[in-house]
Formats: sequence, C-alpha cells, structure tokens
Amino acid sequence: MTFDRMTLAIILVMMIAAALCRLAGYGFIRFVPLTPRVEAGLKAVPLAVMIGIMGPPVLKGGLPEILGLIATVASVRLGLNDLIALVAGMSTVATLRALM
Amino acid sequence: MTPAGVRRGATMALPFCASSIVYGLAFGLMAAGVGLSTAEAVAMSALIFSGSAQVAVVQAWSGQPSLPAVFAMVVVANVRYVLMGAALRSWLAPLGPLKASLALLPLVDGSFALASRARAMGDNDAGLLVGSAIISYGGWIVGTGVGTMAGQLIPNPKAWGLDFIIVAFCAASAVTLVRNRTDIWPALAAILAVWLCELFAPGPWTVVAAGLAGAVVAAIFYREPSPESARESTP
Repeated sequence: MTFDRMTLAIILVMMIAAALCRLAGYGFIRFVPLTPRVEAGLKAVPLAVMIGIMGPPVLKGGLPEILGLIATVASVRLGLNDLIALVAGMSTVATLRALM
Repeated sequence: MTPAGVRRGATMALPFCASSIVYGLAFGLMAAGVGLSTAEAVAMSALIFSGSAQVAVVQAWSGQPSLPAVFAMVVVANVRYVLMGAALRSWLAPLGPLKASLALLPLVDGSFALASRARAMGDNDAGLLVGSAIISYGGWIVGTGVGTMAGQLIPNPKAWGLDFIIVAFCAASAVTLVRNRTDIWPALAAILAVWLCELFAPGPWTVVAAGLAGAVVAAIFYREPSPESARESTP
C-alpha cells in the first residue's frame, strides 16, 4: 500500500467533485416548486438523457454503429429479451469493425 | 427500496458489469502508466467511480497538478449527474434524505437508464437503481486493480463492441420510453441538441444539453388536462 500525499489530495478533491455532482440535482430541485409543468419537464429527462448518451458515439461512428443501433432496436421491436438485443447490437458492431 | 429490487437490478445490469471490468482494466493500465500504485488507482476508482472523469485527470497527470483544475475537470465530466439527480427526486424522496443520498452516490449512466426504464414500465423499486449501480461499481474496482498489474493482457474493448453496450441499452430503453406522441417533441429536441453540440462543441455537456432541451420542450408543450378528459377518466 503506497500512497503519495499529492495523489491522495487529488483523489479526495475528485471524490468531493463527483459526490457533489451526484447529490446536487436531488438537493437543489427541493427548492423548485413541483408544478405539473415542472414535473412534465423532469419526466422527459430520462429519454432525453439517453439520447444524449447514445447520440455522440453514433454520430461519430459510422456504419457499424448505425447498423448496430438498428439491430438493437429491431430486436426490441420483435419482442426479444433485452440481453439478446444487447448481444445483437454488440456483435453487429464487433463484426463490422473487424471487417472494415 | 427492497433487497429483492437490489438483487433484480444487479442481475439485469450484468452486461454493464462486464463492460465496467474491461474499461476498469484499461483505466488501471493507464493509471499504472503514469505511475499510480495499485492501491492509489483502486482508491480512485472506489471513491470516484466515474470513468470519464478519471481518464481525463489521469491523462493530464503531472507532478504538480493544480487541485482547482482537477476539481473542474471532474465536475465538467459529471454535470450530467446533476440533471439525473433532479429527475430521480420524486422517486427517491420517500426514502428520506440519508438513504436517498446513499442511493445516489454510486449513480452511473447505466443504472440511471435501467432504473428509468423499469420505472416507466411500472416497476417503482428504487432498489433497481442501487443494485444495478453496485454491480457496475464492483466490476469497475476489480477491473482497475487487475489492470494496474496485468493491463497488457486486456482485449481491446472496442474490437469486442463493449463500448456499444451502453448505446444499445439506451436505444432499447428509448424504444420502451416513447409511449405516446407527446414524447416525440422532447426526443426530437434532444436529438437536435446532440447534433448541434457535436457540430460546434463536442464534449461531456452534450448529455446535459440533450437532457435540458428535452425537459424544456416537455415543459413548454405541457397542457393542463382539460375538464372533458378529466371527466372521461373518472369512472
């Protein structure tokens, strides 16, 4: 177990920053009056955030990512199990990356 | 929040655990490369649990780093969690502030996606959020530790398509989350926000911009239920 003092300081600063981010939204929304309008906005966050997470890799990627996305969505639409949908997407991406 | 929910979340998140391990290995290798010991790297992964923030800080590693700069880097990489925390408020509030905070500390993209989706399908057990986060957390720590010692052995995560797990999961969830036509406009706003961000200023704020765009559009388009529809819904 070796800990450098500067490294320890960095780790602690990073920990505080990360914890603050994870707790801040929950803490500050308490002061926002939860009108039906605000609730409608918050309800839309999960879908919008997921679009924000998957958007950049797909836009930056190419054919493998786009076809992987189609394979995943098609599997879900066909009523297949989630895990199968994930594997379908991943294997499509991996195969096309190996070929291209 | 029930123990059964935690277990269910953990089981559902096993694919995230697999990708956490492999990305943990990659991070461990990187950390060892700049001279961090196994204990230091594992402590960092255990206390921060944020791949993007840790990679950003370690990539910029130098003998005399500025602590405010480190702080800023981690905040920028993690602003998206502020938005997710706000969205989780109505779900976690019944737990009380202490339990809610403990449930939020291991929050990650995967657990947020998994739990939001389960919630949209009527499963309100907050244990899903915690269980899916914990299993990814375990993978991240184990991966980091092994990576500092045997990082050279790792497969290239991209060649295996492991970077695509979170994308695929978000896509699968998005399909389930779009319930009716009112969900379309916030989704389109989010897509537009992503596209604009990627065009002009790609970075960690893309997720935040998408989330805010969706929320603002949903709030603007919100209509009070009309008296007629209220009457219809009363039996």
